[in-house]
Amino acid sequence: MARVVILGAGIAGHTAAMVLRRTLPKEHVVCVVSPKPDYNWIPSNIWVGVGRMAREKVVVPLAPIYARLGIEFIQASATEIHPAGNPNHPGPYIVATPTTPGAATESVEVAYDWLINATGPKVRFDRTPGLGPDGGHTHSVCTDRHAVDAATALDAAIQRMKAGERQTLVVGMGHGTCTCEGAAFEYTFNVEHELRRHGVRDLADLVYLTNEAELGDFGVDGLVIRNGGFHTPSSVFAGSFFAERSVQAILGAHVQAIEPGLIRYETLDGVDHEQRYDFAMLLPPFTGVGLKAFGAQGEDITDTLFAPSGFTKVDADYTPKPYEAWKPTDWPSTYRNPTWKNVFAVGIAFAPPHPISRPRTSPRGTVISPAPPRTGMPSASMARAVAENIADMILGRATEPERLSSMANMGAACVASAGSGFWAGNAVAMTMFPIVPDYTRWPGAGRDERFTFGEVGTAGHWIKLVLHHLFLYKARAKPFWWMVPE
Amino acid sequence: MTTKDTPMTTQTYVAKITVPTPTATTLWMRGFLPWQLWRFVWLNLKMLRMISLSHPTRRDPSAPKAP
Repeated sequence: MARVVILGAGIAGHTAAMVLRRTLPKEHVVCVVSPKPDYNWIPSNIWVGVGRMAREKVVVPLAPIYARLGIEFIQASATEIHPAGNPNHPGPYIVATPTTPGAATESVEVAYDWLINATGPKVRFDRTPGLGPDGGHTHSVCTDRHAVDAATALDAAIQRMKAGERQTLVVGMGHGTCTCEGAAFEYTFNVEHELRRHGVRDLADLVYLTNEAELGDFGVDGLVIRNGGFHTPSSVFAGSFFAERSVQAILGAHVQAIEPGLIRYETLDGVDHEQRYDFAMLLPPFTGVGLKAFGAQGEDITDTLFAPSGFTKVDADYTPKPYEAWKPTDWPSTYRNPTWKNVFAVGIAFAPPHPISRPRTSPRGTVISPAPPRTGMPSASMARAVAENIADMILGRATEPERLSSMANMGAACVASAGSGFWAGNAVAMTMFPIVPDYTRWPGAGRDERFTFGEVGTAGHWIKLVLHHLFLYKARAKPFWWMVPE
Repeated sequence: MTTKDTPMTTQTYVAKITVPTPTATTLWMRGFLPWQLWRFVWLNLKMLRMISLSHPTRRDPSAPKAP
């Protein structure tokens, strides 16, 4: 009997747990340790954040699903990994603190034979003074509850506009090293749509503030999109949308501090600026969740499992090298820790070898450069590969991970809705293949032009709706869920 | 284009309208249902093909094992 423990129940962790449970015979245990009782389909938080969807539509309680599937569920927050065990606990185990309200808070030890770290990120609002909804002055759509608060604040701003008061709304990135620019892009245009729907667009200055050096970078060094008979840089493609909707953009910005009504930021030219705001939704930078690792004698071995960023080291090439020397093969393909062979990490939890976007710093040395995105579709895809590899090794069908799932050989779709309504909705649909550009296989653009395309229209909005319902259907493990592709 | 609080001297990193913007016909086509139904089918087919290309590849048996 093998025991597989999965830390986290987001898109990556939940996918891994369901695939393992479906693949492994019942004598093997699949256990999920997650601090939250619900699964959150984060891409639809954007609609919650503008008040167009109820929070309940984007979350799914995990306990009933796991009870039905035969997956052990421990609602707890993992804090330590003991990959070698210790004299009192001979096998590897993790330590977790229960998070069920009203339950005992004494730490529990959970033994494992195989471990998948899918904890996602720690959202670091604390990296920018005044950032975030908890003690700060800005809003976020990182979690379903943050999105609900953002919707309330946005509605208050709209009501002030209806009373004739001009408002400045700022959406974007709250730090120079943020990732998930696509989410901020999408939220910007959902806000813009809401302003028009309420008839107050002329009273709003809408500003997109980002750490990208160019519009359309999205943390993947931009794209060359096939669109309308042209190979169009994503800076032009995205810029066209900004111009069409009269959204102002501040590029290459590192937010230094946020005060009530005022954002202080530095741009790539090293100059300080101020931006007034009445409503701001700024995403935070991410780090690992801060797990510690200990050896058999209690010694701290965190650096064998985790990079300084807190993300888990896997089979990537972490040798520091300049942008010009980056290669697709730097990126991991099995997501296995090189020291502890029964430990894997997927989704945001794995440490990327380097960014994808060209690194940039201001003359004052401030890093203003997007971190690489690895959420949504890629995280589910790598989670499935890791789960199937572990199942193969447990069942004796393989001795090494045989399925390789590198972001340098994996595509991604980004559908950024820009308005709601089944017949009148609009969205920017973009896909890229692969995520990490390969200038050897595709000289010039670095990506396969057949699958790197983008267009705007109601069709994209329908795709976004289909994805919402399809992935929530899958998350609920309804009949034939496994046929829904990642 | 600049924000009202950002002076023009900082326009190095501020987006300017130097991009194409859609014509009235393009805007109309974005909501023209027969065309959008066709694009929905076409985009889905392209995305499914892209997803199939993204599926994990099998390790080359002749390749050296990971350290």
